[in-house]
Amino acid sequence: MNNSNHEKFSAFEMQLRDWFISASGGDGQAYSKFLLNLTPYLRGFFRKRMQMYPDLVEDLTQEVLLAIHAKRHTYDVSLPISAWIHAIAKYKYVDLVRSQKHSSQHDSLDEDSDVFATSDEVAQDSRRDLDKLLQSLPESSRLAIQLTKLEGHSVKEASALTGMSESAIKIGVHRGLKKLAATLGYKYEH
Amino acid sequence: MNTDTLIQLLSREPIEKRGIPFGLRLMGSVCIAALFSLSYVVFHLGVQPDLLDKMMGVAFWVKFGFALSLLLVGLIIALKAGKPGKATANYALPIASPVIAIWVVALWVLSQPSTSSLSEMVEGSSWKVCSMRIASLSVPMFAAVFWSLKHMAPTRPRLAGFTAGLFAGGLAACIYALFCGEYSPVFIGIWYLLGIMTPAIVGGVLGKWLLKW
Repeated sequence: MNNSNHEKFSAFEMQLRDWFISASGGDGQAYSKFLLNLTPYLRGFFRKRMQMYPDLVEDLTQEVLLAIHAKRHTYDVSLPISAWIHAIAKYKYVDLVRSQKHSSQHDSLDEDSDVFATSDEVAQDSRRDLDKLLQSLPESSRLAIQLTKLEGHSVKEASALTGMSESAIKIGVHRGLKKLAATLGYKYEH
Repeated sequence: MNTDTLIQLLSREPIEKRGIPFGLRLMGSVCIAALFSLSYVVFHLGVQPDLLDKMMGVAFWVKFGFALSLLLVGLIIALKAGKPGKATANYALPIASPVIAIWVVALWVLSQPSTSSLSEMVEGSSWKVCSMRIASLSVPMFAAVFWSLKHMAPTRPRLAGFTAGLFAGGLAACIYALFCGEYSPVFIGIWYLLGIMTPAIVGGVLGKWLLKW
């Protein structure tokens, strides 16, 4: 299932690596391509980890670009280039979190640091899992659950939004949850 | 600054310019540093007069091998730690194995019938100064290896600092062995170990600051 994704990633990785190696040979254009294509990846990496501080995402992205530039001689060609970049990005990220911790007078960031480190990703992961599960349901059940259980609409509102009758919404929710429970191996009791 | 502008600026800069390669920088600076420690041992402490005879025996090589193996373990890991993404494993076992080896030898020696008492084997005649001297002798090499590592990009500064210190300490112990007349594995497993571990621990603790980039 992940195979095509994996292949796509490897192709991107190989391309990045090729650009970087040409760049090390003095090819400025390849270097520019390398940096341009890497940047969205870095931005995504930090955005995922720094949802509380969106203004720092761009700072960190630039910081890592500079670090990659300054330390470009430290890339070991036997490694995947993503491993090298990831290690640098993580180092800069940890460095920033630590310095923020020290510089903030009040401990607000300290208290957040757990959320910061884990639950953000957990939330994202469970969100992704949930989406996947919902995709397995028939359209009517999926919509009904989405609207009433996830977005917090009332049955009446959901009915108005979808044009389904209120009882159809209720039945959709009921059947959908039952099916989800069965998929996950739980017993659903209403 | 806008990120796109930054990328433009960076890609305009000539990329081939690299300065001295890491290996050369490390080797050069460590050799110069080792000359300081070596000349202190040769001219101030003095080489053992019967060093060549001692080098024929096993005891010398047990001691020298212990210091040398810690030196090599420290060097190999520190070289990896300078490159982001390279040093990902847990290196506790390779670092511990020379120590375990010397302790096994020491226990074996203790189990054999011997003319010297336990305290003689532990204290020798120089236990008070041995660790201190090794740690002091490691200072020039410590500076050299940290200076070289700073030009790399250690992303695990504690590991990089510890292994760099281990390398400096191991090298200092090798140099000190030219002077030192202690050959009991018990002595080496305690005082040599302590002398080598001192720069390693200092390096591990200070790595975060000394190797910041």
